[in-house]
Amino acid sequence: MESLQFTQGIVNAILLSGTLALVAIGFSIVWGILNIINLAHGAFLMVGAYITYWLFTLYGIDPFLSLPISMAIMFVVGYLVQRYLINMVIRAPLLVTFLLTFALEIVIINLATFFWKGDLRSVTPDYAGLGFSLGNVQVPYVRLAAFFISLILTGLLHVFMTYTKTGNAIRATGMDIDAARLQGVRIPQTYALTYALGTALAAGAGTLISISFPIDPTMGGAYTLRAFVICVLGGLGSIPGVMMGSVVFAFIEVFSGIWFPSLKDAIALLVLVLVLIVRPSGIAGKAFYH
Amino acid sequence: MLKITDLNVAYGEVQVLWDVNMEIHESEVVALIGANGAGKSTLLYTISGLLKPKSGSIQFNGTEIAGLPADEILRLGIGQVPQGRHLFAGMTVKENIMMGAYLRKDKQKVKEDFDFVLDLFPRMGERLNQPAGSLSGGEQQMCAVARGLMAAPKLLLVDELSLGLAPLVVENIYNAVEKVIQRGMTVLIVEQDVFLALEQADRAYVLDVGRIVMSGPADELMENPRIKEAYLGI
Ligand SMILES: Nc1ncnc2c1ncn2[C@@H]1O[C@H](COP(=O)(O)OP(=O)(O)O)[C@@H](O)[C@H]1O
Ligand SMILES: [Mg+2]
Repeated sequence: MESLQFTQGIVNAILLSGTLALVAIGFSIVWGILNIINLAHGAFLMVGAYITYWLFTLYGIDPFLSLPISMAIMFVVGYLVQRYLINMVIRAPLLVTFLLTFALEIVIINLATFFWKGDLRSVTPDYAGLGFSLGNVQVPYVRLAAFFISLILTGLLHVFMTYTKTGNAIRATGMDIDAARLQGVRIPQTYALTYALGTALAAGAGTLISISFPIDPTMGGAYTLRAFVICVLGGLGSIPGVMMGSVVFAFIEVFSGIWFPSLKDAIALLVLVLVLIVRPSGIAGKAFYH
Repeated sequence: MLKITDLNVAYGEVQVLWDVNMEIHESEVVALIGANGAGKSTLLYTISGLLKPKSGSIQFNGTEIAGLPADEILRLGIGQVPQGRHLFAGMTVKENIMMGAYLRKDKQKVKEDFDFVLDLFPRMGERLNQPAGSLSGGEQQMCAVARGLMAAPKLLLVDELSLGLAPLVVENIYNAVEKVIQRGMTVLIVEQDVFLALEQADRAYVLDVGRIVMSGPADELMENPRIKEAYLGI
């Protein structure tokens, strides 16, 4: 019995790490490149989840098919929010942008609660409950699919950042903004694009989460906090670092849930405090974009 | 080619450049010399559009460029190798060099220019996949010059290429600059090493606490007693 719980825990942690990586990667590029701790990240994730919910409930669109739609809509939203709102204070100290994204989060959550009510809702396609067993370990299909889609999206982002001109311009801007300008990189557009990517990734994560778990307007905050802790764990702005941080965090979360169920909600904060005490630069070492 | 008229530049309340006038003709090599803190880098940043002038005009081939965004100025043909190299430390040497061609669409020419800069700095060819931050000081400067050339500018501004480098490395880098000049590129050389700058240049301007105090043919300035005393230490 003990060993079954242990094996199931490992499977659950691996599945969770994929989603967390997707949540954290968008948070990480915005933090690493724009130097914004984007507290609205989880709110965008929540909106992505609701887009999927409504497309499914009103139009019967399969939740996996709604992934590109939710990401595209939130990409545009993210672009506009950065270009015409955050850009106004981008030169301001970190605290100002921090507060602005905090306000943004509250507004989005309040609007969502107003229009969609605070109830828990679920996206329930026919295949929602299906899965397969490995011995006695249960693997739900939707979570497995979400895991692989998360890996693919993270991989695509890595390819985009490494091998395309625009991706290189984004990284260059994060490393040395004056030098990037001297190569002809337009900073406002690059910032808006980066924020749009972060927002789209959050929405994609929201879509995938909504297929496996119930959603409500306040669901995002816990993900913002986890993304923050994962970035601290993995080192800022490095995609492999974020992947590693996500795996470590997912295992801690799942197993602390098994062994110390009463700590479940505090675990992200506990990990954060521990990391900051033991290794302030994160376990993967130095920030990459700076 | 470049005509600067009555240029005033300030950081907030603190004015750094006063009524600067300067002219650079096509295919000319001009040196801008002056002590540390005179305002040389400020002038280059203003020409490249990283700083907006308080007043005055900068014309490039007849177009007013003062206050234009940096990417438009680069597109018109003014490139810069900034002081302190400003490489993208976490990116590879190749990625750094290719960032110089960020705005260019002429793929075939970009390829040729890439081969040309590797010819100029064979050391870069051996280091293409290394992070730029891991290079030695001299190699970083080569990488920065290579990146600057990849924009294929009509006018190249180079800022303190010799700073902090051993004499042999400096010679190596300026040999490369000379080859670029021989190909017909117009260059504005900023140097604290006045002898080095005057050796390369056709004409020179002397900037002192934000004002142009002297200008003329480089060989005449080299013989000028005030220059000799103040900058060449002879
Ligand atoms: N970003 C800045 N903010 C405020 N003052 C600056 C800044 N950069 C340079 N300065 C000041 O402007 C003056 C000229 O600097 P600079 O252009 O770097 O001179 P140089 O390149 O000739 O050594 C100096 O007094 C310097 O302290
Ligand atoms: Mg300088």
